[in-house]
Amino acid sequence: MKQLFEIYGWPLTTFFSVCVALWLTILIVAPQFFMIELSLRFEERGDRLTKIVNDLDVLYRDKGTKEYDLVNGPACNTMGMVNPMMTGDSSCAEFGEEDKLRLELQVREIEDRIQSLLVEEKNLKEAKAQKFPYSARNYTAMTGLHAWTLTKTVAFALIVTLIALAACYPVAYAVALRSGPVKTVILFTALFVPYAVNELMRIYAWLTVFDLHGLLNTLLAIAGFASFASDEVIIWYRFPGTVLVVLVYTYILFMVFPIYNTMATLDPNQVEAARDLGAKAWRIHWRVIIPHTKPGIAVGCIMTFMLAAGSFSVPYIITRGLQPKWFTQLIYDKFFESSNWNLGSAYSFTLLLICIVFIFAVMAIFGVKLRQLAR
Amino acid sequence: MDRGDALLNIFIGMFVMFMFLPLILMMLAAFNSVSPPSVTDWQELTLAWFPRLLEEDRLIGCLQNSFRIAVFVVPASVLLGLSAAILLTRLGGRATNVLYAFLISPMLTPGIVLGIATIVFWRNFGVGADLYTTIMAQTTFIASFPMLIIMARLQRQDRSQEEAALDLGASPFFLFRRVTFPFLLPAIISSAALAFLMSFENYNTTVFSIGGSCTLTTEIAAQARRAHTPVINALGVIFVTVTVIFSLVYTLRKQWEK
Repeated sequence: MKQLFEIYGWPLTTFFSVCVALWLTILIVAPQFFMIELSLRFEERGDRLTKIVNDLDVLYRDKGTKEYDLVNGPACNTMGMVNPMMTGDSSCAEFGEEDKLRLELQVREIEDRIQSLLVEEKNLKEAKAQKFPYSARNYTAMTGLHAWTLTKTVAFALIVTLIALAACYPVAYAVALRSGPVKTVILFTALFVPYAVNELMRIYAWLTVFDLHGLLNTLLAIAGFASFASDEVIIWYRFPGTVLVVLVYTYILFMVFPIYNTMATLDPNQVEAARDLGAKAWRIHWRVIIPHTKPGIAVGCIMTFMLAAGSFSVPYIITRGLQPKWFTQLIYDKFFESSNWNLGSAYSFTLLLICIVFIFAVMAIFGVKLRQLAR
Repeated sequence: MDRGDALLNIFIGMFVMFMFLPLILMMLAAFNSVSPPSVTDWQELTLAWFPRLLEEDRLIGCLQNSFRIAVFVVPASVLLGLSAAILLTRLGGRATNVLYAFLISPMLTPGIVLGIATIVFWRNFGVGADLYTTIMAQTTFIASFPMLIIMARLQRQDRSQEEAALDLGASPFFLFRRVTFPFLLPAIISSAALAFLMSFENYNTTVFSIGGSCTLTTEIAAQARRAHTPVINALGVIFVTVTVIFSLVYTLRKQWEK
């Protein structure tokens, strides 16, 4: 702190501190706090209070109609349709004193019921306000189907991470340690281009492969396994495998670059020395390269898992509504379709918790500290 | 060893092909007159889909929104990242580690969670989901990247420069303006470029925080899900071309500097 003041002076130091404080509070901590708070409030739907509010609505409307009738006389009801032209017509029943009394009685009955409901509503509201508002019911309310969707999403994200790790380690190794300077530049650029192309475009590109008249079906037709003429084509969007392939494709490069970056800092002489001392290839990897590359592998796994599990874009575009919804899509519906924000917040926080658990698990497995991660 | 290298070369060749094949197919479909886009049902070579882009009023409106958001996100992210980098580099002790963990946590949080937390938070103050909430949500995690880039450069700074300037009687503000800031400028410029790209290309956070408005990416996703024309493919050609040009320029410049 003292050093900061000495070098930057108090005005700048204060300015920097305020900026960081704002970022930390308004952007990072407070939103998460409010989301968790909301997720702990269970919103009762279809309970007594909701019913009372609905009943009161109906009663007030009833009362209004009857009072109008009292003043203006009832409209004539012909075949269930109110015809204003016929009001006061001879075919209408006479509106006598007796009818008037009956109507007044009905209005008074309705008023009584409204009064009793209002009292009950007030009591219920007071009880609700006094009751402890927080519970874990939004979390325990996750029904069988939604819990299954969550499990499936997490399982897919894990598979994507494993596939990406298995494929990217050799790729990073080839680029970082087994290529001359020119080849390294060419390969790096070849990998960087798809990495930098817009995520949406990379997902969208797969539609040309999976479409009804896409590459896959056409190849099958040429091979004689499908036919466009007799509609014997495969609707690829129905298979969960398509989401898996595109998830791998979209997020695999988030595994390549962290591994490459750490691997490139390894002194090739170390590998050379190990080889000269007679170590076999797998032993060089196990004892020299992998230990050095651990932080990169950890970052790659964390990023890939987090992006795959939290991906909304891939299932949204690829499933085209032909597959059961993905967990992220369920969350989206809770916010923008059925507008149950409390439940949506609970689902969203569940997803965050899973990612946090995964991060700590990876850090424990690879023995990496947080400081080593984001570099 | 040779056989291993040959296998490795085949593998990496297939990997690069896997990465490029869908992109190439998508770009090819932009030059085919058939709509909906297809490469297999080839009718006629055409450039007609490119000028059609200019007629897509909604798409252009959404593109403008993307720029409106980036105009705020980029300076905000760079400023927050710079402030945090300076504090973290010069503050010592355990508290720094905790602060560091908090400030990089948005990078490790799923984008949709950031979007949701932002709209939930601002609803308490009566602010509905719109461009404003998207700016907030994006800045939350994009600021972490400038922080890391600027921190990396600060750690390579020769501190005796600053001390010398102070010994010679420079005021702290003068020192920052004439020594520290110029030293950090390359890092600030590259982090601004990165922040722009991340803001412009973001989808998952944006779609959860933007409400009824749209950006280029949300519009592309919405169109990709319905029946669409190869206009989107034409846009894809532009995206890929720009990316390739920038990557090549960047690589060549780096080679040149060596």
